[in-house]
Amino acid sequence: MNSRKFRLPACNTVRPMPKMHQSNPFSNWILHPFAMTQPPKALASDRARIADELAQAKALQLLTDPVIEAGVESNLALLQTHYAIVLAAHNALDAVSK
Amino acid sequence: MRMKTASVREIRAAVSSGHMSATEIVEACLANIKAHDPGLNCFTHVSETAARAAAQSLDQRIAKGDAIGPLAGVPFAVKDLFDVAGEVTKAGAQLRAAAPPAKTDADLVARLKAADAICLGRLNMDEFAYGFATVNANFGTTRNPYDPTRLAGGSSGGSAAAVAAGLVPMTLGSDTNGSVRVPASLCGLFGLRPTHGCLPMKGVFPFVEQLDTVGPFTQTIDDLAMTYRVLASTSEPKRKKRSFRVARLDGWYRRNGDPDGNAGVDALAAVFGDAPLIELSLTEAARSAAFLVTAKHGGLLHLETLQANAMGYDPAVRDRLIAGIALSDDKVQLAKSIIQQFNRQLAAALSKFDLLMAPSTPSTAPKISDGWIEVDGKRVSARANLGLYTQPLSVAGVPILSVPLKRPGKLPLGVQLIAKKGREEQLFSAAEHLSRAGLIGFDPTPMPALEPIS
Repeated sequence: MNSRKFRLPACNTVRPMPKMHQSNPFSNWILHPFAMTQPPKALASDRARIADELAQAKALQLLTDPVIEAGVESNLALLQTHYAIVLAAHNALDAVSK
Repeated sequence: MRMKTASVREIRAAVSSGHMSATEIVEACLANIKAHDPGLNCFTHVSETAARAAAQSLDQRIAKGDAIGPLAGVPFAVKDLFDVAGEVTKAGAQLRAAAPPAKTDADLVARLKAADAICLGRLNMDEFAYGFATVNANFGTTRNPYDPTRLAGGSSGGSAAAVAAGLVPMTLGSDTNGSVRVPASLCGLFGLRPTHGCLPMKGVFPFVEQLDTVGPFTQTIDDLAMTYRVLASTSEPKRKKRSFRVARLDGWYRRNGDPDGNAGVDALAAVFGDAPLIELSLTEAARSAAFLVTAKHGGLLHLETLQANAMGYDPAVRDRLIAGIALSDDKVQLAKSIIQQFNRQLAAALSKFDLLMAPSTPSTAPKISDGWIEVDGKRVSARANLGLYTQPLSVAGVPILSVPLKRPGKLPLGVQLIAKKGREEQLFSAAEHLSRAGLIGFDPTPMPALEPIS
């Protein structure tokens, strides 16, 4: 587990664009490809999971540039919102079956 | 005959009767591509020399009285992830520019060529098919022929825009999460996602093998059925289904999108009689599950290339792929279990009904300069949410046909017809019925008339 502090982005907040995106007219949405509606604020446990996953990407030597790291972190946060939907459905099914 | 409106069937008839030569057809298409593609950006490569040679060879065979195939002289083009012998399959990625040319055609390209169709080139897409917009950092954005300031949809946007503009009468695309159905809807075309696994994928650059399918785009349902039968090596059934038990999908599909989409669904369903609204309660969860599975398996496919050259990717695609790789296995397993449960819900619905209907996209084509669509009264990212309605159904492996609502003067919008696995012909029969009723069909684009053939 990586011990550094993670700066979790608010998922639907537009972040300052890295230079490489600045001339791209899609830059305001390109970093938020999974956002559908305003997701719930990440819980502490979510942040821990995202941190674990980011560490995994680092261990696989995939984060070779700070620009990549920022984009991946943002995407992991957004994937977490989809996981929350899946988990809620799973729990609802579980409750019905009991 | 104007190429802009010439159908697959008309071209085949003109060539086989000697009314026109394959060379004339190909030359007209090449002239149209030259004149109009720069404004649309559908093609990433035009195979002029190979197309002319194929046309000349076909003309010689016709002159000799040889038998010709069911798509004789029909020009087509393929999304840039199909192998075509002698050409580089870039899959929309600049980092594949130095890849060796394909040694052989993809199986489906070979089947079309064996039917004497003529390949004119390769078409733009989102890099590695990861997107619903055909916004490509390397090859540019494909524009919608109905309004070039708008997106064509994706990831098979080049394939859809080329047919809508009349540059070619038929193209192939791929559909993992909606990449045929979304651009078909936004460009006013018929587009098929066939049963998963029913068409050979050899020679097609993969994205997420559990979900990947390939399918055609055409202006008419007749053309689509003709093309599909060649691709699947099947023939037209002698007896066609005439009546259908239809249901409309409720819940997720009624909450979010353009009211015109659901009004269109209602109008189509009414043709078949009483069509109840039914809700598949796990639809939203299935969509999220599809996101997670796509991210993980799509990412793993690129692991080694990302480790070697991450900066060679389109930044938006790269960051999603890496996030997918890093996604923990337990999340993906839970997503897969939800997919199984959703598939049971869908199978139960399809045991009671022959056809299910739902809108294909939550909106018409968004502006390129904007990149947002309105869903549930909120502005959300178009790139992610154009697949709002296609993505949940993709996980089931069933055949889905996007049909264009007849709405002259308005931007196109499609409806998905969904059937049991292996029931593509049933979808074609239903669509033929709806076409005859005048409720669906291609509306010519407001583009200037293309090169006529006299």
